Amino acid sequence: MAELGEAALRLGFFVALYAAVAAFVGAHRRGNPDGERLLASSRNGVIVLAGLLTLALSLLAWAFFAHDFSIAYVARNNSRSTPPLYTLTGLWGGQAGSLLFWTWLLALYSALFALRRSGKDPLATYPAVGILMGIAVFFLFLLNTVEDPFARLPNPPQDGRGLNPLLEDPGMLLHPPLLYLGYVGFAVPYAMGIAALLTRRVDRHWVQTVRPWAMSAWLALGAGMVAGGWWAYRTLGWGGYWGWDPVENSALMPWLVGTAYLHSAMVQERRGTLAAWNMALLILTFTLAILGTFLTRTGVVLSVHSFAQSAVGPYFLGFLAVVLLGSIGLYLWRLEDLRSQGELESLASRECAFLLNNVLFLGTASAVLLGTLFPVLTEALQGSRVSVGAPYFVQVVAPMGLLLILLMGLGHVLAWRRTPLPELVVKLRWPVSLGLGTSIALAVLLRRPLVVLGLGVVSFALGSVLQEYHGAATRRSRTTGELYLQALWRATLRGRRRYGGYLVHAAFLVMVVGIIGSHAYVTEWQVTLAPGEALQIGRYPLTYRGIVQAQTATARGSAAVLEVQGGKGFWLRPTRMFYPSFQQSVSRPAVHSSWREDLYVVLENVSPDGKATFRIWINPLVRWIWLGGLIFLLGVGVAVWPEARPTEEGWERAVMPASEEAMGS
Amino acid sequence: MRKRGTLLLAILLGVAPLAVQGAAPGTPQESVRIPFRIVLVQRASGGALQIREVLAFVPVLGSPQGKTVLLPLPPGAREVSGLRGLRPTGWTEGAVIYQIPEGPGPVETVLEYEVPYRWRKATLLYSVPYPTGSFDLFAPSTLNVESPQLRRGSPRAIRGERIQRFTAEQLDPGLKVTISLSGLPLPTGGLAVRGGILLMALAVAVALAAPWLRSKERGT
Repeated sequence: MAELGEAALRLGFFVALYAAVAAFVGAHRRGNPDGERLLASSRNGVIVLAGLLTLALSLLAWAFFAHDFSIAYVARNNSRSTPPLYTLTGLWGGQAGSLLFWTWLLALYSALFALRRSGKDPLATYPAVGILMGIAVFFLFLLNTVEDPFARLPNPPQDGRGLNPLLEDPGMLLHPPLLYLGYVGFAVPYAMGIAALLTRRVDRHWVQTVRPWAMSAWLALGAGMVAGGWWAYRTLGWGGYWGWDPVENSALMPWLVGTAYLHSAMVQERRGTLAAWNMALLILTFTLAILGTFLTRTGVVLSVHSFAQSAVGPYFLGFLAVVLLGSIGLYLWRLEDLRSQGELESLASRECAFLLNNVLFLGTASAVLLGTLFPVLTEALQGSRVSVGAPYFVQVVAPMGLLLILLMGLGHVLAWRRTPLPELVVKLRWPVSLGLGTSIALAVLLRRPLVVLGLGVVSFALGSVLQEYHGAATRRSRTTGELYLQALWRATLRGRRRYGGYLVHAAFLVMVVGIIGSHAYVTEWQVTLAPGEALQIGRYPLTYRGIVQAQTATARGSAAVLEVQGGKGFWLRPTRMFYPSFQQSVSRPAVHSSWREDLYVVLENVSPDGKATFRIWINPLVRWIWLGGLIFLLGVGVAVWPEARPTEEGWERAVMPASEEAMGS
Repeated sequence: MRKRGTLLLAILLGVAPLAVQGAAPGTPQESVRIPFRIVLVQRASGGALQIREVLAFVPVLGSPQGKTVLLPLPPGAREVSGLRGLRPTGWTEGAVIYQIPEGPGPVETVLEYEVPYRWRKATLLYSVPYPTGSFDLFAPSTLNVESPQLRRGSPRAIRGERIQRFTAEQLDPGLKVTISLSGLPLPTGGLAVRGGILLMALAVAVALAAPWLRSKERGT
């Protein structure tokens, strides 16, 4: 079976190479029969590649479930005692398998893209297919040389090493696939952008066709980050969900730039401006996605994701250089075509707010990039590695984040082109009142100026979102006579893109509330307790009842039993397990979660006399972050769901803000 | 007599599930000597030759005892198991690691491994790591065996089966013994996989050529 998998990968490499060449040559010769046949053959090649990689991935999965330890990758990431769920996650738990998974997703995206777009706009589609296949060639080269997932062991062990203990968590079922979907997904908009530059078709239509692909990649990357935070929170046992780890940052950077793109692309759609800027953002987003993959896999910076390190670094660096230099060269060559057809008319306009938000998103991404690469830069310049740590990121990102939220609130009430001042004042009245009212109330209660400021700004932005929904429902209810909730529902359905976007904004605000709460009011204890000993942690009277032995299929260790009295009362069982095949101990936290706060307990050590040392956190409002993540999914789902009648007119209506509708512009 | 007894014993032995494999620097060649090394090609099945080796190590007088020695196996050797006698302590890429116990006299070991082959031919390449008194190859008479370094010896009959023998004496360290085997059975499992690969390649070629084939069809 391994031979068959290897053959599929070898064949896949040549098919991808052929499909890339056929796409470019066919597009060049378009119009004559041979050119058309080459294009059709290239499209077949893309579909065949998806089939070959599906076969290869299935064979690897089969090897995992059959515990075929003659395959080195299976022996390293699976054991006979690995539970079935983690047998599956082992597929992407290491380097070669995750690269295969990455490439498989790329092939699926490419096939979907070729099938959906080739009939509609072949001139722009095939060069993009060529680019996508070029990217696939690189990954298939890696899979056929340095990271062969089917490489065999000359002397297979009786049992495999098993999955890294940190990866034995249900979060791994979602987190890596979503991140890969995001990283890979940005390859399609990038390929479309490069194809548009090559074919000199960088008009508004192009931006519209890119949108669903960019949105889906952005959604996946965002959801992957939330899932990653959830995994880290439940598994790593350091009390937090985001540690500014280089690999976390690697996902955040393309997501930030992608967010900037999604906003500025709207300006190009509506006003014909920012074409050059948008193209630069697309290139940057994909470059950062590749940089993220490079950082994840090479260990160039220290990370909790070190389980995926290998020798692919130089290849990725080379690929990154080709992508960056090639894209910049083409970009400069075609810069003339990217000249804006319109211009900004007023500072008090939505496009101006979007431009400012772009500057902030890019500034944030640059600060994160600088902080992430700081150890590498200092090593290159001074010879010693200096890390900046979480405080740097918080100090830089938090003010920019607040400004972004402020702009978000403003953006909702600003119209395209210009907003007359009296109208702006009227539209700002309620959001500003809500923001100020919240700030004053919180100032009395909390006496923490930065928290008050943060939550005040969040309330302002939330007020503007609610005002938009309320305005849409009221207007519709007035004209159609529908009930308020019915009108709200129908208005949302009619303007899915717009109101889905607002829902995403609301999700982000809910998450920010959780982030502010969990950062500003986190409290931490480190205590050593004897069995039967009790203590008060915040509002929780907690008693340590003792230690029980714990055993799983892959580990053995201790579980501490803690009783929390008062109210409904509950039990907590944090564990500390030893994984013999990795010679590693892992503490799994026990978390009692509520909308107000999380009680988060980690068992650090157990002494022979039964005394146990715990680290305990009270993390306020963490659940709101996960709730925000769910609303985010819902919002993007609403925004990308196709309109019932996707006509140009309907689209114009959908993106037209209420203020313009009211003005009749 | 001792060698013959060991040979028979080795053939009759069962397989012990001790796994070894490996590669790393060796000990100084002077520290140990191999008085005999017997290679038995037992059978060929599933695209792999099943091979059993019987050999002995003798520490050279005056050399430090308790040394680690490496025994290189033919390239491609896999599923290595120590059966009897001195057990391997580990493996590196392509070589089995032994820890020679302190004390005088030869130490015997029996190990088993398999070497995959393609189609109906196989080449076994043995490196001689230490001075070796004799090197014997026993293979079923159904196989064609050729080796520039070994000369044909008188055939044997073991358990009613005719076994051909090839031999060489006094081999110096660094010498390579090349053994070419032909007339092996076609690996049936391998054949199915190859057939699958061929079919897959054919399907890919047809899919890529489909636009041309279709236009030809239309033309006729």
